[in-house]
Amino acid sequence: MKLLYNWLTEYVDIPYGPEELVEVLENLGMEVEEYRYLGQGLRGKVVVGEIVESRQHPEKRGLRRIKVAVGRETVDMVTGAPGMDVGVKAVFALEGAQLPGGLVVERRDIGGFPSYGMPLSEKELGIGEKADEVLFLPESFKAGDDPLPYLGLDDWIYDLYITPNRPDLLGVIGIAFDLKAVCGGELRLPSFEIEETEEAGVPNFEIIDREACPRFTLRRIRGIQVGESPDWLRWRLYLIGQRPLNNVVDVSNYVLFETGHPTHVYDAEKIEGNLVIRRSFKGEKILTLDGVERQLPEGVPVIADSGGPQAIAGVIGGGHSAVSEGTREVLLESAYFCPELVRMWSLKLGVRTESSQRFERGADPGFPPEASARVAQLLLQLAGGVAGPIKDDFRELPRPSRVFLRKDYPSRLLGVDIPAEKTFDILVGLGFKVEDRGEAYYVEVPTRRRDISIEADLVEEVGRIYGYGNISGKVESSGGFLGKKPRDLRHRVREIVSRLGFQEVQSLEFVSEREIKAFSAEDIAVRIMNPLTEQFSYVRPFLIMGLLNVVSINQRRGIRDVRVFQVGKEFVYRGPDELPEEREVLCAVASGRLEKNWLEKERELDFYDVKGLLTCLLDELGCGYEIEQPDSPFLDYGAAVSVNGKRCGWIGRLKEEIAEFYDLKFPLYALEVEIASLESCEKGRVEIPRYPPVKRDISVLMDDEVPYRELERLIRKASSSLLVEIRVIDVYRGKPLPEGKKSITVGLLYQHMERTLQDEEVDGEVEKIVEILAKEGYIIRGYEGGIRRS
Amino acid sequence: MENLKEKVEALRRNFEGALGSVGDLEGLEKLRVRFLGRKGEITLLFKLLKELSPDERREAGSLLNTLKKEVREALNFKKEELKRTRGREKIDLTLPGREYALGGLHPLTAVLEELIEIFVGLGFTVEEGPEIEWDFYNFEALNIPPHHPARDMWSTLFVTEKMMLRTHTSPVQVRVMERKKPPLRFISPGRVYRKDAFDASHSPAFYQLEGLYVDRKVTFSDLKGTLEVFARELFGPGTRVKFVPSYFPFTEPSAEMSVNWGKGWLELVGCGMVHPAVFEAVGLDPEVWTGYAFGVGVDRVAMIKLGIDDIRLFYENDLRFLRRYRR
Repeated sequence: MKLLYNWLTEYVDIPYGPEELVEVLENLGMEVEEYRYLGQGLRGKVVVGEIVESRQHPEKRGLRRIKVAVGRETVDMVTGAPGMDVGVKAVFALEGAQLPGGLVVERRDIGGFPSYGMPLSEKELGIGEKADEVLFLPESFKAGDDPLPYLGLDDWIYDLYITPNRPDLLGVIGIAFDLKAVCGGELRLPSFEIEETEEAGVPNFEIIDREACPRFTLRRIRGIQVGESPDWLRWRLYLIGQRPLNNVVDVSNYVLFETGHPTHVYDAEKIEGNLVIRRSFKGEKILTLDGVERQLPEGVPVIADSGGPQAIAGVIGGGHSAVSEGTREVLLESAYFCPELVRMWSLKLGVRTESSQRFERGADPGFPPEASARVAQLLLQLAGGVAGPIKDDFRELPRPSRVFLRKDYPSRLLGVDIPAEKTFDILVGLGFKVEDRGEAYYVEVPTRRRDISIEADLVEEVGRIYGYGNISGKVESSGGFLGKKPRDLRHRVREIVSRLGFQEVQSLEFVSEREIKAFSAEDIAVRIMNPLTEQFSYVRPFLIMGLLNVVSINQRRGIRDVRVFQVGKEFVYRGPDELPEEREVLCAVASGRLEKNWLEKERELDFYDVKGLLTCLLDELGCGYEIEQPDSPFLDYGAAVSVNGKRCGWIGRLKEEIAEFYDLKFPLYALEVEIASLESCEKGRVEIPRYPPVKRDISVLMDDEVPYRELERLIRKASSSLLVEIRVIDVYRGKPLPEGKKSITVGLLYQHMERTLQDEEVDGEVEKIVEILAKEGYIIRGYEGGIRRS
Repeated sequence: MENLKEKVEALRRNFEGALGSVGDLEGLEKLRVRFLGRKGEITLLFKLLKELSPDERREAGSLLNTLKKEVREALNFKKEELKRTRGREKIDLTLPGREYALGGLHPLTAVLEELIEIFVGLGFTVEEGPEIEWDFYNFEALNIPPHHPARDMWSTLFVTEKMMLRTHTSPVQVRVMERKKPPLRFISPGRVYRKDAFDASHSPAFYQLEGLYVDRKVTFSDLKGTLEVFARELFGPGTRVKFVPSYFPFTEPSAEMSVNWGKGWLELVGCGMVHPAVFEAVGLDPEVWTGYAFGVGVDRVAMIKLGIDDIRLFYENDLRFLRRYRR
């Protein structure tokens, strides 16, 4: 809502300057998004000038050299504008003026002569659309006068955000009501009286659908002359962002912004038969004022004549019966339409107008006759003609709210002592009717304030006018409450993984249809009905999708070492009758390489980077885990991860197709683990040994096909509880080993809790291992202390 | 006896010569073993003592002990010297050190955790709820019936007509109040979604933190006090706060808190007293219970705190950006 300071002060006296008003408006709940002085850049640099000399430019046809009296001095200008004759008065910009379009006026040489200014058009002044003619002024102006007040530019404009509960503030008078409650005094409302002429006739109409239209009024106005509105009206509408059209439409528009109540005017001679307010039939057509030919679905509230819909109720008028230059007689509609239906249809049809915005939030059902009178009154003034009596039809209207307010209730809810008399004054100041009923006030709220229906609403009014700033904040003791964070596993996981050199990222939850198809996830992904863009048309079913996008961005920017993770949700669709499953998972990706430096060689990030992350995390949390061959569909090799016997994730190298799809450098290694599955993990009790451990290494030659895990299993099988750690020290393939073989060296750590171990005991342990391994066909290449190469 | 004296002298010379050529600790240890070890040269001489007469034995013993003492001291002295100078000439202090990979938390996570800490300190517990919600929880139970114009305040992404990506964390209020009896005092942080174009100040998904306190006699003044503490905790003790009226269908009265810690006023928190209709929707008597609720946009707080003017930077995840701002 755009508000002009001078327009507001036509109705209410306010003891605040234009800049002070900002805070007052905000304290009333109207957010001032922007405000500015309209004469900015013009003040003192734009003057009334009278042309005292006017000569044809010696060479350039179409240019004139003029001398302009602007008070005590005269200024030379060269101009191509028409009508620059001696004696003409107009608005001139002088050197240094900055016009609303951004142009800065400077001394210029035009056709060899200096020019120190220029005559201005409405467009250049920012008050109208006329660009090709200079704004001439009447004789009564004196050279050197300040033209800004006359042009409506010596004013301030505020861009207000009005919350949807306050449609009454979508009119200047509604804002005046609120200010009066703060400033006191009386409002100067325009007269809503009109002289009616019986002979003009009473128009007939019929409300067929009273749900859509609880109240409809119509008035006939004959003998009008359609033309351009007077300057002040055109300029004011233009300044608040409206496009002036003709005096009839402009007046209806003006009253909309003045009172907040929309009206509509039909060319009476284009209407066949009586108007009826009904729902549309399927396929009915209407050409709306925005120039779009619309085919209506069934059930849209319309105002129709015998030829079809002439307006969509409360939303937009029709082109066929629009007022045009030749219009001589009009029908003036002022109605109250059902907010829910206006909102529903304006959304469905995709037409949002100043009118729909007001009706859908709830116009004042008591106001249509006044709005009609105000429009008619201005029309008679500006377009002539005679107005007939109004026909007003309603049965049941929303009534004024009547609410009891216990006198101590504002203090109880707000936590500040507000005396009952203060409450009384505030409510009366807002224009409410207040009766003292002892313990409580009985308050009747006028219908323009549709937002008030319960006691708490009145408390807000009291608090708002009393001033939120005047209520002091109290830090209550939190009483029996103990602030507590839940055992936050997700936080633990983030901490551990980030300590291991992986960077946390936050990818968006949205993915594109292409991605869903690439992962064949059409059946499980949550699809958004009304996505903003195709790119954001699904909610991710796999967190890895988000991470791959992150990897992609970073690779494209030349970052080589990409080790990232995210803890986030995956969403799995379960049909329309159940909310999707939301699983929180950890997903990590490693890709690229570590640069070489003088201490370390360059190295590709590989599977063991993510494997190490997984084992380190699970050990740190104390989770027992297992990884097994069956893998996930996005891996070209890898395994499923189980914690405490439950399958909860995967780890491995991503398929090349996926890398290609995201345009990523291959290979990429990734893992995923469900956070909830780590919940029950706990580190066991640890006894810290006081005696020194004994170490032995064994080097074993085995088939390359056999996984390491098999070797470990056999070693454990052969060992007693003295064996506390097995460490893989070396894995070797190649010469001099035979083809298809590998050598694995493991370090074994033996420990006794109560005494120092004897070498002989440990040797015995190792012998047992060697025996079993030999029986299983492994060749022992060496053991004891060091490795004997075979 | 003379023989022994000579041997002692020879040994001393040998030791001094050998000591001079020792260059490292390992060599020094070998030297120690050679002279003082169990089978060392000095130890062997001691064994010869028993072949001498008691007088000679005393004299020779004292001679040997002196030598042993001198050798031990010389060894210790050399050891200290070697330790001091060990490898010194090989170290170039100006070469870069070993590179350690440091991971880190995303700035949004860090700021979210900070907010949670503050409210936990103020006696709030933490509750969570689903991110894809029913219309009932996201709107209806919050006093926003279908076709209510306030629905425009949240541009919604729908899954079905009745199912949507939650537009705020407020549904958690309803879910918790359905399940637990007051008094209640909790925050619910989490992701929320809007059909907003991705630009410098809007993201279609972001973090919000909601707070609710329901008890007998909770007042607007309590709300103000709590949020004032929050603002000062977050932005420093000199932070000024301002409350102006606002509108949310689920609070009445409603307000907006702005903060100013020297960089102009910034809207930060939407808040108000729980609307009686919300209490009624969850079966609580608004005559008995009152409460306040508030909501903070976490991304916005993070932008303000870190001095970042484009929200997209958080979701683009350029590693150089994240490293610069991680905590």
